[in-house]
Amino acid sequence: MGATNFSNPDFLERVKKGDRAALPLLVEAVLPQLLRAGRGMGFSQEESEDLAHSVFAAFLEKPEQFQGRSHIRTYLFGIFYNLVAERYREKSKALEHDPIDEVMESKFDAHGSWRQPPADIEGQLHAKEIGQIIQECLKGLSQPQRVAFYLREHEEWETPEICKKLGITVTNLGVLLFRARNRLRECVEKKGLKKG
Amino acid sequence: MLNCSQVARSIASDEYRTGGLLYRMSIRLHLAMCRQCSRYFRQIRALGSVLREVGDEFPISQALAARDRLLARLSRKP
Ligand SMILES: [Zn+2]
Repeated sequence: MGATNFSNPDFLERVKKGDRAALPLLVEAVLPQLLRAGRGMGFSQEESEDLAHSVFAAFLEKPEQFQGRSHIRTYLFGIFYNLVAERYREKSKALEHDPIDEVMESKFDAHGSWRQPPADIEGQLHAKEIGQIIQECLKGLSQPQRVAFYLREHEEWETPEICKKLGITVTNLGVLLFRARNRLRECVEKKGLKKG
Repeated sequence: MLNCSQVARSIASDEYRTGGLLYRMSIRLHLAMCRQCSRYFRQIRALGSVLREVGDEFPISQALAARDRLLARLSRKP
């Protein structure tokens, strides 16, 4: 399976012609990555599989649209991000109230100095269980926050790219990232304090 | 002179990345002088690298099952 060269013109020709025998190879290679990205952005396993299905279905509908100029994985991820953006464009546009804003405000005095300075969480961040802690804490984020945070930190997209894709302003992206990061930081801090 | 609250907001919202040179310099200057904000800055950055490092555990059996489900679904619609 690893031997399949997806850039091979013959293989791409088969895929483009809608050769169903080529499909399992392609699915096997790209599906785990799509699912991981979906889950990373806060979709459930089921929702992620739905999204992945839509990606391949859209691709199979018009395989000739794939020109072979980019890697097929990149092309499929392009469809994937469009679907994600479509689903969350409206949601991330309207910024709902988030109590984390008040939590952050309460940390500073009237002069804007730390009243409640950040606790030392370096220990937690380097602990073996940090993966588990983060997965747990990520659940406390809203979906738009997770999508924005994932694209920024995991995919390392730049601000204009994310804004364009999600159809949001730089200010709104800033709000999403501010809330996502502080929610996570607070959650990690709390989990550390509980352990003592 | 920026205060800690403004610096923290700038860091967490990525404003400091997109702001002008002078603005970024004033943030840097504050971070160099303020232990609390520089700790906050390090932590926010560390959260990002943790996210990049921790992979989503995805057992092969689960991946294969998902693949079979997807292929079945795709073949249902000719
Ligand atoms: Zn400060």
